[in-house]
Amino acid sequence: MVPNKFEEQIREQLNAREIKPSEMSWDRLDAMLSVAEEKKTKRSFGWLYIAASILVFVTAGLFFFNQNTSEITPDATIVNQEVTKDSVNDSSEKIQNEVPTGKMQPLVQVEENIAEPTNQNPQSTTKNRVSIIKSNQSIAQKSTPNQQKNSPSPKQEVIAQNNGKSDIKNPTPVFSNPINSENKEVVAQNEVNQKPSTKVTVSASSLLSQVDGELELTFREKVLQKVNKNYKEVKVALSTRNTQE
Amino acid sequence: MPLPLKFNMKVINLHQEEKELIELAVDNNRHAQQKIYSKFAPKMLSVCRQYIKDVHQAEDIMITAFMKVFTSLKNFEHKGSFEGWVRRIMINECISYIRVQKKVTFIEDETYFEESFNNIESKFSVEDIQTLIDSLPDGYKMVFNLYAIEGFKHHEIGAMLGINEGTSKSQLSHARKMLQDQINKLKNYSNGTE
Repeated sequence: MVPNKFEEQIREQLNAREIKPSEMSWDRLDAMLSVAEEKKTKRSFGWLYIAASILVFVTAGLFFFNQNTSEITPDATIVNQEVTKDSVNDSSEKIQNEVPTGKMQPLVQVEENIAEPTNQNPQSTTKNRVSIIKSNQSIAQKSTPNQQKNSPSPKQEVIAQNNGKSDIKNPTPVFSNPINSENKEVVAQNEVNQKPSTKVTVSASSLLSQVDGELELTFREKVLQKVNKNYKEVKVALSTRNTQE
Repeated sequence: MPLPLKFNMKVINLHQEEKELIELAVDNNRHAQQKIYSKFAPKMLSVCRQYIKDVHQAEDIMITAFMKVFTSLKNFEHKGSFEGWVRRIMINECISYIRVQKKVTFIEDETYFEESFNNIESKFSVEDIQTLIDSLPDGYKMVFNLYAIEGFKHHEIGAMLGINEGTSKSQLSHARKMLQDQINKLKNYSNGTE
């Protein structure tokens, strides 16, 4: 089967033929090409979104992971925080000078009273002195129970040490004896001489810790008392029942 | 006879221009794409019209084929003729349309007979030729177009249409016989015998 003349003639004529497409044909093709380009760009953006979301998840995961580790490290430094608490107590001791000033104002007044004894009655000065002694005594009484309440826990040890420090500076034990004595003037003189040391002894934190300790102790005591009471009641009830039987 | 230098230079310039246009069109340069389209669209619509009777349908298929041309333009290696490459895409699109949309199937028939048009002396206009081709069934038309007009061999046509070489020969033989009958009818009609 070989192409013949007629077929060659047809070929030539058809190859030479041109049919003009409609005017809108290019616009249609243009629109199709634009749609195809948009799809391509959308695809690329889709990959970008996926990559971005993965990055976000990874960074978030890393952030939380690091957060967990950072949470562990403070646990290790809890001891340091406790130390800082101690330091806070120490610093509170430094601040103590500010706290007792309000309470020590009468002492200043006493000094003034002593300095000018001629202007005021000697009875009033003695009264002031007695009141000052009483206030100091109360401080001493508050501070002394803490010495007895030493518990094996480290925090309480720290508190006890602090109290010990305050006790060292606190001259109240010295005044506790003179209160019982009748010679009030001598006590007042001693008080005036050791006035700076009294300023240091009164510590707000130690007082608070003392109160806390007292509250804890009273609570424990109450609980123990209740338990004992109930135990005794039960014991009595059982014994009476046994005797009745 | 050697071609004149001026003609050779013109051909080289045209080839260079076409290459530049293709490179621009690969980068989605719409102006370059439009230039390529305006240059080849009339010829390609004629090719599509050989296979598809309806001109509007042929234009739709041509646009779809051009879409494929521009999307796969980066695959063109500049080894052969660009026009031939575009033409091949057009033919494939037409065959695909006929086979898928019109659901044309080929019956395996390897009986064929030698039929020649050598005895046809009369000349026909392009419109008449197109009318003759349009009168053929889609299967015959495809094989006739591919063999007689595009110049493909039977084994190539068999590969393109998914049929045996013998079936392609048989289809061509039937197409030729049908055309011969149609031409005879036209001749008789023009002579006034019918």
